[in-house]
Amino acid sequence: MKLNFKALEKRAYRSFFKDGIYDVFLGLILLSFGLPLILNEFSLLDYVTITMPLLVPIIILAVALLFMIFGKKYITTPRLGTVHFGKSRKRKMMHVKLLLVISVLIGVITFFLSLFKVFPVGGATGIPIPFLIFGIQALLVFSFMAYFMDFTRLYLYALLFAVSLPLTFWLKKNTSLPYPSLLVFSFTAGPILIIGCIVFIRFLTRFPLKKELGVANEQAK
Amino acid sequence: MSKRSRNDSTDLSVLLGIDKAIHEPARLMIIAYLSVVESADFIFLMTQIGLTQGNLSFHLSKLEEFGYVVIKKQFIGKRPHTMLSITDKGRQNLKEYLKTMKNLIDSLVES
Repeated sequence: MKLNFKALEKRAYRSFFKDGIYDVFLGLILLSFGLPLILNEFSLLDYVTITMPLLVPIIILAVALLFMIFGKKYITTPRLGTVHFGKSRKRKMMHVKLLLVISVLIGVITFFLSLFKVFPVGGATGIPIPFLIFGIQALLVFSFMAYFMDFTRLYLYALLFAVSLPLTFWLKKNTSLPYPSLLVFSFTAGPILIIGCIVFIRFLTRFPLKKELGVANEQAK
Repeated sequence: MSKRSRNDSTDLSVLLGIDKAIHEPARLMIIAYLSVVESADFIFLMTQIGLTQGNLSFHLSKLEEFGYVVIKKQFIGKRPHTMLSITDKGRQNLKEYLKTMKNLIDSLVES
């Protein structure tokens, strides 16, 4: 008889990644970074004003956030139920929150430093320093999050996030590809969104919402 | 148990010491899941363990009777919601059950 309680807890926690909602959320976030660049390549976005390049990501981020919040509440919870995990899991989640706070702080500091033109523009590689910082930060933060959350797919997403912006600027500077942003984000945000949608659809078919499930919680005894 | 009977490979009285409340596979699965979380609701256990609603209800009632599980009714908004958690007694007895079973399996001798 083999009963590994640590693995059982991990399995229970990981079951909440079966819904694909985090995947779609992350895919949309990455898309929000790339879409202004893609629209600019097609001359659909005027970079003269700062409003539109900011408005596009904000709209996508809002959609992603709403999808995640309402998706977890109205799609996942009625199908998978509610669970409160133990102390070790809560400690791991505290690490994740701390990482996110540090990540946001680095992002904000980098943004303001780039506004004051502290960083050199591009250099030989064509990759602006803030985007290089973004890439390294994404790789580290998402990898650690994947480790603490036992969310294996997040390692792949860390890599895709990390290469997205630096690679776009590198391609722009060093190649004559027609639509580098479209190309890069099709191969970075695209797979995350596709995986997310597949996992999400599979989740909906595997865990159909049964009326009696709602009643089950009410009449558990 | 005397030293002599402990070493006696034909003494099967140890089997009588097995906790029957936990020994039933469905109940073992329930209590194992509840031991790794702080609390969980009925749907969570149903999806994780794969038991039917009636089956799960029956076994939970049994575990509650033995004092191994606490069933708490609460409200989320206006809807009633049932949360389940393992008691200290349940956790302790699960540990003892696993220890007994391990010793028993380890002591089995193939003929």
